[in-house]
Amino acid sequence: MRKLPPSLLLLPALLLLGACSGIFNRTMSSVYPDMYANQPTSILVLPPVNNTTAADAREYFSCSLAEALGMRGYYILPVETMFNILRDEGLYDERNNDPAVLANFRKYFGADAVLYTVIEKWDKSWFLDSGSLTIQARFALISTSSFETIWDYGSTIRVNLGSESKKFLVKLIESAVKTAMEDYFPNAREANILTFEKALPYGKYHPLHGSDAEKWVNWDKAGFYEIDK
Amino acid sequence: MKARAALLLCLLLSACAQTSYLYYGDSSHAYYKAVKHATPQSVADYKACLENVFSESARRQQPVPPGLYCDYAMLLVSQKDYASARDYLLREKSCWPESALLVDYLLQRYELEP
Repeated sequence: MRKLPPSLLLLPALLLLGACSGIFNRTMSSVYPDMYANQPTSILVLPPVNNTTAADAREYFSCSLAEALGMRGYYILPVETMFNILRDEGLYDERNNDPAVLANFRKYFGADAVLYTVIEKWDKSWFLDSGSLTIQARFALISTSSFETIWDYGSTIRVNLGSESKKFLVKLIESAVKTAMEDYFPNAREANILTFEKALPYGKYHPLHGSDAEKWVNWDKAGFYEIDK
Repeated sequence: MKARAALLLCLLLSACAQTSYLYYGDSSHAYYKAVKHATPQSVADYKACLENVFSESARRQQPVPPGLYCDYAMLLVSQKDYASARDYLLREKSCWPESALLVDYLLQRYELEP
């Protein structure tokens, strides 16, 4: 009997893996039907809730979310302006999920949805020649007309802060410096951009609006990603 | 021959690369520094960064990203340049119709209506 070539023996395994990947992914339009049936155009970003011990994490997120969302094609109400209004109205540190409050966001400011952000993890670690920053956050868009959650996603992003140097001592020093640096804003910005690229449908203003309904997204609305620096 | 193939590949890849439909520049980072440090210099840097976004967006023939005209107008209000603040609020309204309710609210709140 002729021996089958090794490549043909791999074929059933590849087919099985391909089928299995479909179990864990579904299309954007099936996971987030409301985002396609009645998509919001304008989004009000609420001050993120910080459940970590990193005091700066809230500002890292609140200052980078507008860009990450804007690049997906949504009108984002000006963050600093809205935060000042929320402070003046005593709503800056509130949860703001009262339907009456959400309805007022729509009535007075034209917001179709509000974005809730909860920062769950902001962990820096360093060992010898490698350092990393792990950012974990949950996001939810709540409609200001139906008061329902129309989109939500949780992301865990590990930013690798190691050095590319081939010399061990240089690598040791560079990774220690990268991990110890105080301004992590670029990392937060990149993490938020990546999260929305992976899971948020294109908004009205994006040139590719409407083209992602069949794009795969994790069925459990959560993802783990790595960024190399 | 190999060099030509490599050059052709680079040209094809650059053609496929998508540029973003909006230009934010370094405005988000400058905003963070203005919030974090709240010094006159950090606020001035943020203002300059926004001006750079406006001019670069015009050069690229792209819209200024949502909210930036408005945040710039609020900086002008804090500097008591009310005429320019009104102008930038109206630019936000013109560029992004969804901002109409908010812009009208701000024009009234800061008494910038004509």
